[in-house]
Formats: sequence, C-alpha cells, structure tokens
Amino acid sequence: MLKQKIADLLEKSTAYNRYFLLAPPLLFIAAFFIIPIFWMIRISFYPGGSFEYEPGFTLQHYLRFFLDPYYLGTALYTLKITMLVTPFVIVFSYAVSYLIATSTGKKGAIYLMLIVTPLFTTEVVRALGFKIFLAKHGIINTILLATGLFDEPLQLIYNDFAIVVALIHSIIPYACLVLIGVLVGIDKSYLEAAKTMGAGRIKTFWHVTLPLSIPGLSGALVVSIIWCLSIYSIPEFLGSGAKYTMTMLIEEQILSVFNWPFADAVAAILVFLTVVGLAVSFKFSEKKEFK
Amino acid sequence: MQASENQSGKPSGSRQMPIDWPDVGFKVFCFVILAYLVLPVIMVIPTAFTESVRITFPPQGFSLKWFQKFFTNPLWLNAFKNSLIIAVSTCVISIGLAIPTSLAFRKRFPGKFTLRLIILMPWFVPEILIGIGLLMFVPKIGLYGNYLSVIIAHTLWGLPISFLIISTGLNSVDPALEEAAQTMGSNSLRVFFEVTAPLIKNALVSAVLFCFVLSFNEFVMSYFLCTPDIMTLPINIWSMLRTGFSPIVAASSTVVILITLGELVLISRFIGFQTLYK
Amino acid sequence: MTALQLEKIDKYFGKTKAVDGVSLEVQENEMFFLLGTSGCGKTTTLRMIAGLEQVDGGAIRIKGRDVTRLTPQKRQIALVFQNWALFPHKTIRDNIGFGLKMQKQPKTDIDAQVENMLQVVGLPGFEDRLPGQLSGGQQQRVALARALVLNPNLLLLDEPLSNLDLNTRLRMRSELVEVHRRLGLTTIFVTHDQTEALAMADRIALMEDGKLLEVGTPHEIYESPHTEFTARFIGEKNSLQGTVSAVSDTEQQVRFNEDSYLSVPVSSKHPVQEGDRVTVFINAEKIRFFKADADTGGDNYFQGTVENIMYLGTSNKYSVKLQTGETIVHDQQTTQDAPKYEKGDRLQVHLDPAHCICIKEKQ
Repeated sequence: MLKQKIADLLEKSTAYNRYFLLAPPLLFIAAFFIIPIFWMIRISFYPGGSFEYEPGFTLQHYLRFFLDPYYLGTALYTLKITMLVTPFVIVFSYAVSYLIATSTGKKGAIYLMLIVTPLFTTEVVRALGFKIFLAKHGIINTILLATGLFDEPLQLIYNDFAIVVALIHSIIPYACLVLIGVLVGIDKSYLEAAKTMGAGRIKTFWHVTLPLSIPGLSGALVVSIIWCLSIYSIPEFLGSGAKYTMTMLIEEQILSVFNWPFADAVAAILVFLTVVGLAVSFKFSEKKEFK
Repeated sequence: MQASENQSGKPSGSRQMPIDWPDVGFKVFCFVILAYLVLPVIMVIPTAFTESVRITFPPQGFSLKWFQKFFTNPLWLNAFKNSLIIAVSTCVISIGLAIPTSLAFRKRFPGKFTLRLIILMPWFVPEILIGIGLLMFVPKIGLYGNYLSVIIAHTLWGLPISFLIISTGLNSVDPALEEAAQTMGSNSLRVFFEVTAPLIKNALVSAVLFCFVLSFNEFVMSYFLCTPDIMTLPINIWSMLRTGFSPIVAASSTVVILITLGELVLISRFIGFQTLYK
Repeated sequence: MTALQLEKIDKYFGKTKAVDGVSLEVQENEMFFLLGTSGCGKTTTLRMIAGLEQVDGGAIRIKGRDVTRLTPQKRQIALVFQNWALFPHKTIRDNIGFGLKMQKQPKTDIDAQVENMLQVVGLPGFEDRLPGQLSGGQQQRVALARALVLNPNLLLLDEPLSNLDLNTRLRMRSELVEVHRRLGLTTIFVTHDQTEALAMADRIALMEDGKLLEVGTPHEIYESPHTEFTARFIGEKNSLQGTVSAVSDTEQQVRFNEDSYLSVPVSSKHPVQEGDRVTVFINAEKIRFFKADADTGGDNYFQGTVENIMYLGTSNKYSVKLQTGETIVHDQQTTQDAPKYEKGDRLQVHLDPAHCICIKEKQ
C-alpha cells in the first residue's frame, strides 16, 4: 500500500522526481567533498602543532608559512617551476590541439588517443618512464654517449630539469583537452571568409584563428597553473629532494611531521589559488558553459 | 569565361603538388611532441622483459621472469587484487550515481547551472586537496583503512566523468521515444531499462571503462588514504620505486599500462574521447 | 457517449500561457482535428490529453473517467508521434508488441496480434526488420499499428503525416481515413495543414494563441467561419474593408467609397449595425469574372484591371485591382471553357453575396 503510494508519487510529479534523482549524488558530493574540504580549512585555523591541536581560532599557521623564509621558499620554488613549465605547455599543447582540431577521421582519433594515454596512465608509471629515459645510464645518455659528443653521462635526473620535463609532459594533455574543445568550435566559415578576402594561411591564423582561440588559451593557462601548483608526485620522484614544492611540504607535514593544522593551512592556500583560477577560467568560458 | 579561368588556376589533383614546407615543419614539430607524450609510457614495457636484476636500457636478453615474479608474489598480487576491487566498486557506485544525475539534468530547472558545477567540481579540484580533506574526515566516520575510503575518493572523480559521458549519450535520445513507451503502459523504471538504457549503451559502457581506468591508475588520493592492508598497485609500484630500480617495478607497470591501453582502445571503439573536450 | 471531454484546461510554460481555458467534447468514433499554426497550443493540448504534460487547471475526462491526475500509462490512450518515435533498437515485432508486453500478455498472443496488425496496415512479413530499414511511409504505418494494437480508448495523432513526401502523404491520408472507418476509433488528430484537416475531419477545432476559437465541420469552418481569424486562416479569402451604410431585415449594405458598395444577406452569426466597420471575406474561387462590356447590371459587380496572373497548374491565379482601390485574387480552374484574360485587361468582377461573409472589426 505504502509502496504503491510512493510509486504513484514518483510517477506524478516531475519536480519531485528530479529532486529524488538528484539527492543521492548531491548528498555524496556534500558529504565527501564539500564537508571534508571545509573541515580541512577549519582545522587550518586551530591552534596546535605536531600530533596535537584543539578547536579555536588562530592565524599562526598562515603567519608561519608567510614569515618563515624556508616555508615561503616552497611557494617561491613552486612559482619558479610553474613559470618554467607553463610557456612550454601552452605552445606545445596549442600546436598539438591545432593538429587534432584540423585532422579528420581516423588520424584525429589516433592523435587524441596518443594524448589521453599519458593522461590516464598513473603518474607513478610515467615517473618510472622518465627515470628510464633520464637516468645516468638511461636512454638519453646512452644515445648521447654513442654519438661521441659527450664522454660522460649528463646529470639529467634529480634536478629541476627533470621536474620541468616531466611536469610539461603531465600537463599537456589537460591543456590540450581545453584547447581542442575551443579550436573545434571555431566556425570553419570564418576561416573560409578570411581566405576569400585574400588572407594567406599565416595571416588567417594570426588574425582569425588565434584571436578566436583566446578563451581556450586562457583556460589552458589556468589549467596549467593549477596543475603545476598541485602536482605532488613528479617533484617527489624526479627532484633532488633538497628543494620542496608546496605539495611536498603538505605531504611531509601530514605524513611525517603530523602537524595537521599547518599542512591544512598550506592546503587552504592551494584551495584558494585553485578557486581563484577556476573562477577566472569560468569567467572566460561563461558563454560556452551556458550553452 | 570566369569559370574556366578559375578551373585552370586551381592545381589539379593529378599534378605534382609542391612540398608545403611550413606544413611539414608544423607536423614534424607536433609529432615530436606526441612522441614526447607517449614514449615515456611505452618505453617502460621493453624494460620489463630484461634478464638482469636492474632496469637497464637497452634491456639485456629476453625473459618473462619478472612477470612470473609479479604474478607469484603475494604482496603484488594483493595490491593487484585491491586495485581491482576498488576500481570495480568505483565503477558501480559512480555509474549508479551518475545515471539518476544525468536523467535529472535533461530538463531545465532552476539552479541547474550551479548544481552542474557542484557535481563537476571534484573533477577540477587537485586530487591532493581531496586526498587531504578525506584523510582528515574519513577517520571521523570510521572508514580509515577501509576500502570504502579509497572507493569514495575515486568516485569523486568517477561521478563527474560518468555524468558528462552519460549526459552526452542522453542528448542524442529523442524524448518522444520514452514518451511513446510511457503512453504504451511503462512506468519510469521500465522506460529506462526498455528504451533509454539500450539507446545509450555505448555511453554507459564507456563511462564504466573511464571510471575503471581512472580508479586503477589513481595515485595521490590513494597514497593519503591507503593503509598497508588496502595498498593499490600504483602505491606498491611507488614504494618499490623509492627503494630500488628492480625490473619487477617495470613488469607491474607494464601490467598497468596494458590494462589501461586496452580499456582506452575499447573506449575509442565505443564513443571516442570527444566527450572529454565537448 | 462523449469519448473525451476537456473542461477549461490551462497550461503555463513559465509565465506564458500555452493553453488557455480550452473546453471541448469529442464524440465516440469521431475523427476530430486540432488545427492551428505552430505554437498555438494544439500539440500541448494533445500532450495533456496523453498525460505527457500536467494540466495547470481544468479537468480531462476520457469516456467519462476523470484522468486529469493519471500518468500516461494508466490512461489507455495511444499516441502516434510526429517523428513516429519507433524504438530504433527494437524489431518491428518488438515495437508493435511493446505495449502488450507491458500488459504482461503471453508471448504467443503478442506475436499473433502483431501479425494481425501488420496485415491491417499492409506490411505483412515485416516483423523482424528494424525501423531504420523502412521507408517513411512504412514507418508511419508501423507507428499506427503500434498504437492500434493496444485497442485504446483514444487514438492521438501528432502531425503524423508532416514528415512524409507529398505523394506518400496523400496516400496515407486516405489510408488513415479507411482504417478509422473500419475500426471506428475515436481519433484526435493534430495538424497545421488545413487541407489535411478539411479532407479528413469529421469536426475541426481551430486554435490560436492557446485559445479554442471555434469548432465545426469542415464545411462550416470553410464556408461560414465564426471569427475573423478563422476567415483569414482557412482557405484563400479576399478581404475588403468597408462601413455598414444600411441594414434591412434581409440585407445589409457595405459601402467601400462614394460610389461602390456591396449588398450582403444578413447573417445571424455576425450581427452588425449601421456605421460599423466591417471586413467582407469571400473565397478566391467563389469570385466570377465577366467581360468589361458584358451587360450585367445589378449589385455586387465591380470594374477591375488584371494586374498579374500566376499559373499554378490546376488553376490560374489572377490578381485584379478593383476600382475601389483594393486588390483581390481569384483562382480560376484551367478548364477549356473559362475565358482567358491577359495582364492589363479590364473586366467585371462579381462578388456573389451568398458567399460573402461580413464580420465586424474588433474595436
């Protein structure tokens, strides 16, 4: 009887139906995403240190981060890596995205496949791959020594170079997905119109394609920066271990030092930067999203 | 007159085309980048077949002994099993949540844009932040060290991606088909199973595959949430990689790569990767 | 017995009122048409009858049973969609048998009924094909079979012929009428195509802006429309504006200018008073031409000049400028005996008062 009543109610009201359908996913995201993130931000204001903290309100962890040159250094180091990585990411992903957006049929699908393969392969395996390439007796050094140009293997790994090379590699697929979407969306008739008006290929690109892909470029820029700030594993695997990024600092504070409020403060700064970045990118892609 | 001039001006297909150097240069540049993207992943595979006790390049000899070790070592097998359990559960929960979500999002309603953003949000937020957030939160609900904690983390990714894929699939379903079924006496559940689900079969299969690949390869969130009992394959590879350079790491990585590649090929067969950027 | 009764039903989409207080009754076995331009609310009305849209006010009764709050599956109706909505992943057998399967009928019964239904629509042996392998006309028949097999209380058709090419459409019209005559099923047919409605309907309901304007037989709607909108919408009518200058018991005089007027019989449908601004409608094919020098005399003859002639195959369409300054059109069948006129020819135009409809203008 009750079951029948519930079934009737479900069939009747589409609005009721909708909230019934939406409740589980929204509850899930609220419980396991929104609450934990806010919980984490709240703990970042709790007084305390390693192994112990209590409810309260203090800015000591934020002050500690910004006033201690060592901790602030992690932010500056992260920034430096970001600035080294981002230009390459933008140029490389734009080129590849352009290739994919202008390729048709099977070719385009294969290029896309080549891009998503590293995207979905765990970073641990990618790190191993870079070790195989960059190690003292790795692929690159083996080739270089064989050419006779060098007598000794180069130090390619456990330094900033390795981090930058692997980070560019990790971020290109994300940037590409943003860019391909925008490039594919550019109406071909604009390009044809430019051509009928006598613009050559390079002029068409410069005056039509590039300006129209600015939303994609800004999106790719934001994506690139967010990932540079937040990738933990690559610097850990391939860096020297002497210099820390913010993510490595967070990991150390959580899993080795157990100073959770401080780690959460650093994480909260990352949350803040991410939210700002996403807000900027949504602002740029607003029109597209509303469609 | 005009027409004939135009025709003679065009290079005809049979005539030898001059080499388009800027185009060739651009393509070479792109192919180098594509190689840079793929080779670090692919080159792991040959090193797993070495006979020596360290990973070297070029690999020495050919042997399957590292695979044999992988499939007989209880530690690795356990990690493999854990990864499979977590990935399959992630698929089930993600799809289970994503189907009603996508169905609800077919019609316009107030707040749709914001709710969509909330559901997609975890996909945009760096995993390290989700990992820490859950690490602090999960012990409070007694799930620390439980498979569920990792499954929940992975579902935060699986739900948005399945939602996007299934929504795209639903876009191509004519609502009249479902209405027709309704007028012929089906209730909502039967409409879904008789009409909607068969029509979005490809999207559903792809969503499952995507969730599996994401979960199977996920490292950072698992790293914060995994206890030794529920160690996944990437975590185990990582801890081995820290201590040495044994080819068993390459062998286990090869297993991961091959499973991932296999699924990606399947996905490209079913719907392709266009949903990722559309 | 009333097969369907709508009682002041309303429907809002956001703030716009898509259907506004529509009431009507459809009799058993009737072929009833909802006719109107796109966006007039006819499809929304049909969808509310089917239960696919909820009414925001009013009541719907099917065979006396209030179904206003029932879901589609409980209304025992069948709907044929504009694009037919055949399940692309199911065979013709499974498409037609779908509703029977929902009723949990045994498989052998279903197969027998499907086979029988395919006979009725003239597609025997098509059971195992997929909808994609059928032509438009064949798909249309399968959609019809899928609806008929359920033996519904009401058969609802939403522009079922508009996706067909002209020849198939004409053939399907007569087939539908034939099937309807044979099975005697109460049918509600939504269309924007007035020739379709005039050719097939028992009665037509004309809708505009969410409102029901009038209901009548095709003959009533065509020959003596109630409203100005109907007069303008149905058929190709000429309209002449003038002022009522005199009204007697049987006749009223409509004056266009100083020296031209029209005498029209008084109509109880459209009462007018002296001094009213009115529009006189007359169907394009009801006009008659006479030579300029013909001795006609009497009322309702006007001098005119041929401005343009359009050849339409079965008829010639003349545009004639009258001495009153207005332009009228006339469809003349291209038969042998009709006198031919050339562009620029002067002639006399006769507006037969019996076919003139005189409607008072809205204030």
